Amino acid sequence: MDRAVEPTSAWWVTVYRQPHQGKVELRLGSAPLEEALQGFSFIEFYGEWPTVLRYLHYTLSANTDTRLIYVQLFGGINPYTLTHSDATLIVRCFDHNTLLEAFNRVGQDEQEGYTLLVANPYLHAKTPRQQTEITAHLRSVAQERRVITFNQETKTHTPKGGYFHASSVHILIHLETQRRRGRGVRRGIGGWDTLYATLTKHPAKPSNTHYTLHLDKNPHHNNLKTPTLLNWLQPTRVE
Amino acid sequence: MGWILDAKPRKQGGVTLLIADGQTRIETSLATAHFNLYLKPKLPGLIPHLLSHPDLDPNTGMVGEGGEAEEAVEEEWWVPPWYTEKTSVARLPFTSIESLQCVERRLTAEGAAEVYNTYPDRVTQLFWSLGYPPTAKVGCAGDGKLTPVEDPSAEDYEQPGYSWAELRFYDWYGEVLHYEWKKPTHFDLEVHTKDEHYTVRREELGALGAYAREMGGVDVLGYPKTYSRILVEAGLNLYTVPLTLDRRTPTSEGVGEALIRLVEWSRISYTPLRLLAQASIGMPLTANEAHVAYGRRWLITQTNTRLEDWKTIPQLVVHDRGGLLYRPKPGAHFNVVQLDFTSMYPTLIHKWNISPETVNNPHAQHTLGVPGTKHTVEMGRLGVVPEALSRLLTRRERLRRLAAELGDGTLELRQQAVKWLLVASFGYLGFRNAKFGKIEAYECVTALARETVRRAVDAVGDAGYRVLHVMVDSVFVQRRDEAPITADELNTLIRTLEQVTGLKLKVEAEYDWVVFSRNRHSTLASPQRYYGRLASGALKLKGLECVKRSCPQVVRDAQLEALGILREARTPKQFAAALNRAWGAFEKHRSRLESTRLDVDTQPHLFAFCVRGARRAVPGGVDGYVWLIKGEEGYYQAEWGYMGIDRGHYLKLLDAAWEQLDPRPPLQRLRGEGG
Repeated sequence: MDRAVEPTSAWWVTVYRQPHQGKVELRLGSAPLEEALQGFSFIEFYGEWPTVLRYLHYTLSANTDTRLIYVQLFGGINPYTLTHSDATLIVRCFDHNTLLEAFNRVGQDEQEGYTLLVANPYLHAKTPRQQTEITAHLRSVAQERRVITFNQETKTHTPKGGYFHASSVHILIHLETQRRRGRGVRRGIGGWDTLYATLTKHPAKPSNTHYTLHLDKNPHHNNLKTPTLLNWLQPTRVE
Repeated sequence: MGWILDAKPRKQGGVTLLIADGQTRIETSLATAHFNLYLKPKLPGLIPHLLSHPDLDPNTGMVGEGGEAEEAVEEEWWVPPWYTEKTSVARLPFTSIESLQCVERRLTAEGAAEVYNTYPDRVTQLFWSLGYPPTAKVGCAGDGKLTPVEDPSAEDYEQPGYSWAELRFYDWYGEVLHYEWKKPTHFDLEVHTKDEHYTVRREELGALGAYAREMGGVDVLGYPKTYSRILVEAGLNLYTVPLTLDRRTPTSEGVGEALIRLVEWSRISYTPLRLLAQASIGMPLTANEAHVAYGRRWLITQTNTRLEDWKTIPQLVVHDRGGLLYRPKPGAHFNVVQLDFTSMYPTLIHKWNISPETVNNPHAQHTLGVPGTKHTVEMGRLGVVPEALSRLLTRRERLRRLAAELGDGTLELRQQAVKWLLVASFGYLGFRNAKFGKIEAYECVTALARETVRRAVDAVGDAGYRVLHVMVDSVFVQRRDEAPITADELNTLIRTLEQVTGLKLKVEAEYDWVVFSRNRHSTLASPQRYYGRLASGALKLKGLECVKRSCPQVVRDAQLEALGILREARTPKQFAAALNRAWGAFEKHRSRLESTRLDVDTQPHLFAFCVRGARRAVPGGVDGYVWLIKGEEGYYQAEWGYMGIDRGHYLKLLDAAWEQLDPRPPLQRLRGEGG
C-alpha cells in the first residue's frame, strides 16, 4: 500500500473522525475492532469473497438500523438465514447504472441514523472510469452517513476498485480464515466461526494490527427468534 | 421476383439489398433509404450546426432556413421510465449510416446531446419505416422500385426459397462440434437448391473438396464454425456465402428447420437474418417490443436504470420465488391426466398488464395490487410488453389453427418458433440487460402464477380429484379411486378450472400410468423427472438419463430397452411383472459390461458422452462441446483415441439409470415386489 494513503497524523484523524456518525454502535464480532472503528464513516472489509460473504451474513444478523445495497448476479446472500430480522432493508443492483441510482437514492434519503452496507460494489465495474464513478458516489454518501463496504480482493490481495478507492476508504480491514494461514479449518474456535481481521489502513492505529472475530461467540449476538435446538430446549433468556 | 436475404448499409449512403430466389442472387440498391438520429441537444446552436451536415437527407421535410428548419426536425416523444411526460427531440435523417454513427459517437463522447432510439440496430429501424420485413418476397417494377408482393403480416406466407447446405463432421465416437487439433474423419452433407436436393452420408474428409463449389454457391450454409479452416483448406471461399449458421451445439434441428424459425422471427421483429443468426432469442423479442414502443413514440434510452424498491429480508424471501413446484410422492400412479395452462406466463403478463412502466408506477391512476407481493400494476393503459405479447399470442393461435387445418409441417415449425419467443418473454422480463425488463415485473408474474396454480389445486380437490404433482403450469390429476377419468368428467373439470383461474387449460397428456422417479438424496421424488405411458401407447420421458446428451450410449441403450418393456404394461399387475422383466434387461447389459472381454466385444463409441466445457478432462475447460470417456485414470477426450474405460464408473451409471426407472421403495426393490 502506498504510504500516501496511510497517514497517521492527528490532523487526519480529526478530519475523518466525525462525531455525529459514532452514535450507533456496530457489532462486528470483536470489541477492540468495534472500538477502533468508532467515529469513522467509510470502512471496508475485503478478502476472499466466500469469507467476506460469511462475515456480511454475520453483520446483517448482528446489527439493526442497516441498509444493504447488494450488487449481485447469481448466488450470494442466503436470505433464508436472515429472516428473523425485518430491521434491515435491502436493494439488489444487477448492473452498474442501477448501482449508481441506488447511491443517488441513499444520497437523497433524509432519514438519518442507519448504516449503509454495500456488498461487492465493484462487481459490475468493467472499466477504471466505472470504478471511479462508484468510488465518487461512495465518498459522497460517506459524508452523510456511515458506509461499510464488503469487497473482493484482487489476485494481488488488494481490494478491488483501484488506488482511488483504496485511498478514499478511511479504514481497510482484510479478512481471512485459518485456511489462508496454512492450516485446516475446523469447527469451534479457530474454525469456520472464527475470522482473522488485519488492519491494512487506519488513520490512527498502526497497520498490521490483528483481531480475531468470533462470529457466533459474540455475547451481543443472540438470535432469540430463530433458536438452535439447544436454545429451544433451554428456557428462553429474556434480556 | 425473389426474397430479400440481407441488407447492408453502404459507405456512400443508402442500402444494398441482396435478393435470392434459390437459384440466382442479385444485388440492388435502395438509394432512398435513410437512418434517423434522435437526439436532445444540451448545447445551444447544436441543431442548426448539425443541419448543415452534408449527409443529411434533403428530401425529408427539412425545408426552410434557420428556425423553420429547426422546427421541422423537432418531434414530440414520451419520456422513460414511466412514459407519462412528453419531450421534444430532434430527428435527423442521415443517408449514410457511417456518418450517423460518427456524429452519434462524437455527441455522446462530448456530452453535447442525449441520443435516443439507438436500439434496435438502424437496419431494423429502416425496415420498420419501409413497412415490410427483411425476408419479404419482393418484385421489381419497371422503374427499378422494389415492392413487396405479399402481406407482411400474413402467417401463411410463402417460405423463402433460399438455397442451403448443411455440413456435419464425424469421428469414430459421434458428431464432433469442437475443433482443436485433430481433424474429423468423415462428414455428412445435405444440399438443397431450387433444382436439386441431395445428401451425402459418412463421406471421408478428403472428399470434401469435391463439394466445395456446390457449398460456395448456396445462400445459407450451416456448419460448426470452428471448422472454417478445414473448409478453406478444401477450397471453399466462405466469403461467397451470404449467410452462415453456426452449428456448434448438439441439436437435432437442421438448417432447413432453423431457416423456418429464423424467417419467422425476422418477420415478427423486422430484424435481418444475418443479425438473428448470431444473436440470442432476446434480439427478436426485444426488437418486437421496441417496435411497439416506437409506434407509440416512446423513447428508448441507451441504458435503462430500473432500481427496485427497498425490501426487508422476509419480503425478499417472499418476492424472490419462482413458480409453484411440488415434490411428488415417488412411485407408479395409474390413470393420471396432466393438465397444462396454455401459454400461462405470457397470458398472465397480458391479462395483468405487466410491463416495466406499469409496475409500481407512481403516476398511475387505476392500480391493482398483485396478490402476495407489495407491487401494484397500472391498469389504465396497456403496457408495451403486454401489447407485444398479445400480438405474438394471436399469431401463434392463428398458426396453430392453420397448421392443424392444412397439416403443414412448415406452419407447425413457425408456431413453435413463436412459442419459443413467448417462453423466453417471461425470463427476459427479469433479465438485467433487457430493454423492457424489470425485476419487480418478473416478481409479479411469478407471484400471479403461484396464486393461479394454488387456486387450480384447490378447485381440483373440491371437484373430488387428487393432485399428484404440480409443475409451474402443469397439474397431474387422478381420481381418488384411481379409475380412468372419462372425457365428460375431464371437460367439466377443465371448465371449472378455467372459471376459477381465468386462464385456458388443455390436456397435455393422458397417462395409463406415470412414474415419479425416486430421488436418491431424499424420500421424495425429483420434481422434474418422470416417465409415463400415454393412452396412445407412446412413452413420455422427462429428465431421464436417456434423454440427456451427456449420457453414454451404453446407459441409454439399457434404459431405452427397459422402457420398451415397461411400455407394454397397462395395468398395475402388468406393470409389476414388466418391472421384473425390465430389471432382467438391465442385468443383461450389466453382465455384458462386467465381462472380461469387454474391449474386444464391445464398440468403444458406446462409452463416449458429450459435455460442454469439459473442465474435469481439460485443464481450464473448453469453449464448446466435446466427447469424453471415463478411463481408469480419469476422464479423457475421445478424440485422443480409445484408451480403456473405468468399468466401475459405467456400472454405477447403469445402477443410477435403473434407480430412475424403479418406482419401488428400496426394501420392496430388494424383495423383488411390484411397484
